[in-house]
Amino acid sequence: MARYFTMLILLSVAASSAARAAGTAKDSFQKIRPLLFQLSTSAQQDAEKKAYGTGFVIDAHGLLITNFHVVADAVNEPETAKIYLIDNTESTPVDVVDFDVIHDLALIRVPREFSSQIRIASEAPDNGDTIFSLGLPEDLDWTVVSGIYNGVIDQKPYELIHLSAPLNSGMSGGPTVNDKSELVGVNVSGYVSSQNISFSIPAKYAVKLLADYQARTDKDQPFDPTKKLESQLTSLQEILTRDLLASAKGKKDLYGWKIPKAPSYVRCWGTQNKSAPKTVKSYSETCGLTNQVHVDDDIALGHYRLGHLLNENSGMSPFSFMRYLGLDWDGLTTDDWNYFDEKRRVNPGQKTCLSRKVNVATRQVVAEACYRPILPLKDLYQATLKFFTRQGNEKAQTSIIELNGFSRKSIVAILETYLKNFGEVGRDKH
Amino acid sequence: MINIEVYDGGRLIEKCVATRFPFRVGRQSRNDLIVPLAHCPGVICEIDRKENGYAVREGDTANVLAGRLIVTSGRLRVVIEDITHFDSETTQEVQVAKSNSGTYADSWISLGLFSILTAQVILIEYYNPLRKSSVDLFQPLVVYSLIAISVSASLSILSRAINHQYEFFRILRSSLTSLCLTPLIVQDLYGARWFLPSFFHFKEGYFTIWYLWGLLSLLLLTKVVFEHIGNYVRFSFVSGSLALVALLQFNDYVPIRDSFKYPTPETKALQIINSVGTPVEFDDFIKLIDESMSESADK
Repeated sequence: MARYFTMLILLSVAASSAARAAGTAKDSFQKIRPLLFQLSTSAQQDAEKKAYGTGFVIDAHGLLITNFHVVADAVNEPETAKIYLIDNTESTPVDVVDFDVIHDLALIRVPREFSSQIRIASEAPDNGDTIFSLGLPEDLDWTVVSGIYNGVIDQKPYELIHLSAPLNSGMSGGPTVNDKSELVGVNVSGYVSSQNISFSIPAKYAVKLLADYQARTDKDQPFDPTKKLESQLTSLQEILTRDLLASAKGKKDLYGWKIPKAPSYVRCWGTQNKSAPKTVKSYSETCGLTNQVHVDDDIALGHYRLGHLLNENSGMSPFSFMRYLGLDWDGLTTDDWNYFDEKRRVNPGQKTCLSRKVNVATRQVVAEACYRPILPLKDLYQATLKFFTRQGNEKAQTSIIELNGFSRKSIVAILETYLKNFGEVGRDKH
Repeated sequence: MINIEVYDGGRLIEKCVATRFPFRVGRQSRNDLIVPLAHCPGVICEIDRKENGYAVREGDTANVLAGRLIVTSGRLRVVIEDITHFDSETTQEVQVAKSNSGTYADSWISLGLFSILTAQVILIEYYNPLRKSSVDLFQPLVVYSLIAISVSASLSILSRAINHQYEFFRILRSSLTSLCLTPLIVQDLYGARWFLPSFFHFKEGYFTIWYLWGLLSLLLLTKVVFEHIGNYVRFSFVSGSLALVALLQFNDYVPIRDSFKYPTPETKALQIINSVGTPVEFDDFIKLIDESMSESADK
């Protein structure tokens, strides 16, 4: 009897809590729904949409916030893609007047006045607070989903709110609000393979984008997306480079080599290569930024990847060992970005590769640097730096640094730092 | 059938019949005399110019007279009757050499096996990622061939000069041929640095090298110990060659099978990681990349 009583209490508490949450979701939906619009990208006004997302009114004087990736096609291929605001069955052409490509935000101007605008939360929710995300998932109907606020993930330079809410395609650009229906973030992404791990962009970046636009004196002048992309990506890569170079001063011992450390916000994975022959001990470690700046569906910039392959020969002939290392050298490189489309704003330029045997301190390193300019962005490149060295036929190290959207100065500085530190022998701990 | 007579200073010391070429009339002995083969049944004898240097040897005079081949070497004279195989008109030294240039089935097998081995080594060498360039592929082969020829020639001259027994040098030359393949394999194992002092410092686990040396030593030892059992030597040689080929196919340290086991990496990749040329200094490389990027930006 006592046991039955305890269970009853718990259930009633849960029921009470659920009832409260459902009520707030309904409130949020009712308050926010009038501020939500579908934004679609299509070739012409009456043509079928090629992409769509959600936008919400942040300024009643015709300004909406959405994700950059929702309108990326229109920004990058203005000749073949236009953005339209869908209000019931009415389709209105709209313009992108500003964007923050780093934080995946875009500001849309609509030639009309709205009756209200979203309220901005004055402070971030506490971890564990219930929040609500709204949007148009899978082109079904306007939807509100509830979730839990789990704080801001400090993945500099990209900050993201981690929320446990089921965000789906089509909700991108929609608002994430607190229980007072105030904006705390902008829906942006989620892990496909995970359950309810979703992200939204902190509201402060949307507020800043709006404020910057409103502060502009040249609002009537034509907006130049290329220059905007260029300046934002340049600023971003400066931060990434600074952190990368600073962290590289620290080293860790790994399988007998000294490896430069990656910044703390970079995620690393290490694995023992089980497909390697029995006569080779092969360990690989890959570090990379979780987030990327998606300029286009095909073009991701503002990110890098560091890969290290450490092989120890435990009985393989030098012939086979070198052959195996040759495979490694090839296998390290990820798919090259070489898809050119003249209708696109941003395209890859001509690739150049230079490889030399380089004297680095007392060791010889084979170094290869490949780069291609990202056109027409000035002084931004995609570069792949690969290094190889070996100690006799006993062990070898191969490393790769893939830099996407970095300046010449940054690439050279990273090359210099990493090459100088490459191939240093460390303590063998295993 | 061919009647053969061997004279020592005019005295007939051997008379037998050869039914096939090549044929042998005598066997080298310690006292520089042609003596009847102990195991020759008396009706089937063989003459092998290379094996029985005193009987018929390069530089000996050989004449055909009245349908008989007469080979004179010092005070020895070999009379071979009814030689219909030879030209009866001219001096037949060359033809004698030709007639005796045949070899035995096991020798052919050995030759075949070593040809396979050599081909495999060349194949390995061709795909050897440690090889610096395609030109270098032929360099070691040429060098080793020259060494083999010159050493063999030296041994021949030496053995002739000291009037020494010939069998030992024959097997030595065969062994030398095997030996000349060793550096190629060693080159693979040691990464084109076989000629460095480390070549002599065999590392633990390089069983093939030990095996090769062991095999050669065994062949020589066998020949010395079982000098009169030629077939045994040849059998050892054949079986040893077979074992060597098998070992090369399945040994972890010689990567013939790896040529098939691992897909060939992009040649470019191997070229890069084995890049030739003088290494550049660190600062020069950084400057090179910087300038290259600057130039591309200016275009």
